[in-house]
Amino acid sequence: MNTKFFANTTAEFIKTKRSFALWLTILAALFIPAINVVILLERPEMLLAKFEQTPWLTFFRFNWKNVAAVILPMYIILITNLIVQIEFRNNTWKQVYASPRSFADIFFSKLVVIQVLVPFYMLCFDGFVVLAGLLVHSVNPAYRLTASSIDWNSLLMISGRVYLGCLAVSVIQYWLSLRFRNFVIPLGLGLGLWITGIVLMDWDKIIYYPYVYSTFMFFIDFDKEPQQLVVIVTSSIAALVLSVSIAYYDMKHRPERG
Amino acid sequence: MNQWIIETEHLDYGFRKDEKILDDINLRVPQGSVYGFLGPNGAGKTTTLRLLLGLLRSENPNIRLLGRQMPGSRIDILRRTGSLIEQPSLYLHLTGLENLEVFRRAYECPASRVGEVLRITRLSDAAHKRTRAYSLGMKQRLGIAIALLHDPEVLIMDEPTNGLDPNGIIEIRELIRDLNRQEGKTVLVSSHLLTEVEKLATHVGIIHKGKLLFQGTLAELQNFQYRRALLEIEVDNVTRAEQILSGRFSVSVNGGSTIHVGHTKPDEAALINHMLVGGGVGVSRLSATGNDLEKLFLDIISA
Repeated sequence: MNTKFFANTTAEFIKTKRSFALWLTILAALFIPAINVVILLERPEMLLAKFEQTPWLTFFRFNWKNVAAVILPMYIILITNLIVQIEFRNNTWKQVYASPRSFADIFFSKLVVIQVLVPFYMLCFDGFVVLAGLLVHSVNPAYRLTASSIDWNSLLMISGRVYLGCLAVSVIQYWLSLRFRNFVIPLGLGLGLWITGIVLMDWDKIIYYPYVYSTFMFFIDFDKEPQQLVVIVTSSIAALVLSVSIAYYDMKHRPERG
Repeated sequence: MNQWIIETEHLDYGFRKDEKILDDINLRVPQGSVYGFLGPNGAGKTTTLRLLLGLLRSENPNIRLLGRQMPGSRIDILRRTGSLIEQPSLYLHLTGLENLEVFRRAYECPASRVGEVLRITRLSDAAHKRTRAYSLGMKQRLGIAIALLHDPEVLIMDEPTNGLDPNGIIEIRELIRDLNRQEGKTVLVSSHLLTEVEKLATHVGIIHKGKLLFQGTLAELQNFQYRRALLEIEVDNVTRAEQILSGRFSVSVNGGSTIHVGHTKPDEAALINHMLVGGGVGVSRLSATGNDLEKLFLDIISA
């Protein structure tokens, strides 16, 4: 079973060959660091003061704030749609379901692809952020972003928390992409759900809304509110388990496949 | 072992509770046959095939392939069944070889099978081309290659010649025939073209509006057709001809000098002619009508 699941998961990766998935991942990862290089180099008089105490941590947060709140949810909505649409566009679902694979194998092997691409996007983003910092320093050493002082721990901590926060959304978007043949529907629903989260950010029950977890994971100062970290980590894990269960059950019991 | 390699009993299906897309379908596909599943568009062919492959959920427990029940033994059945449903399912951004590699992993067959199925479907030279650049015929052949990867005992193909030019149709027909005769595969092939089925099938099932109207061997279909055939005879004396034949055959007058005579065997045409000439009736034309399968097909589905 495990060997077969592994073989089928590698087959899922073959399907992404020559698709826009890799380009989307790299371009989305490059977008914010590239813009921030320009901003830092163009506005040193406004920004240098902010970078005096903890230059790398400040630079990481300067980049991650946009990604945690906007770019990452957008990327997840697009990449899940793109991966699932490979089957719809090529009319291949019926062949996939007519092959001797269990439903769990089909469902989870594609989910694994998404769960590899999202961390890969984050790794690329972190890599580009570090390169961007070094580039900024090489042009304007006043920023003091030297290679030896890179705060890897903070970078990994931010990335890990935000990833945990976005896991449930990636599953919900995967489910929506599987559910609807027309790619506009999961795209529109995803954007709608994400915007709703932004609008309802101050709502007292917002902790039950998974589309804001990655934003909370970044923006809440857990040094000041450590109990909030427990709440959001618990909520993220609970939402992940719940979304996987509902998505799997719903897709398995669809009357029509392919 | 059961002689039917594919079997359904009283199969009903509807996408909604108040509709019946399939109504009491009792399909019997014998081992080693090429079963032509014939019916006009919208008759229920694809729905039946999708049910056989487990692509539609059915409450009906009596769908059996290779002696196993669908959907209970879905994986076991699909390990021994190849399929091509409607248009070929191909990843157009991948090459032919990559498409086969994707499904080879699902079927858990050795890498050498990829080369073998490419050879069988005569696609070895196009293996490294992206399938987007394939002609429709090549796409269909690659679809068949995918269906053959795991060397299945049964092939289920839905309209495999749909949209192909005459050359493509002949190629696919020969391929299916070879797979049946040389590789011993049982093939269930659906089509809305009787002429196609006639050239290929050993057994025929005719479905219309969700009902199986005929099922049997091609010879039985032809016999059935023959029983419905008429002789159209042009004579110089219609009344006398009617007198001579009406004791033994069903005769109807069709216009001034033409009669229609029902008969059941080919040699009866000679007997009828002999009787008329012997009775002093001049026969100027004698021809068979209503004996083409196309008309029979239309008669069956419009009955």
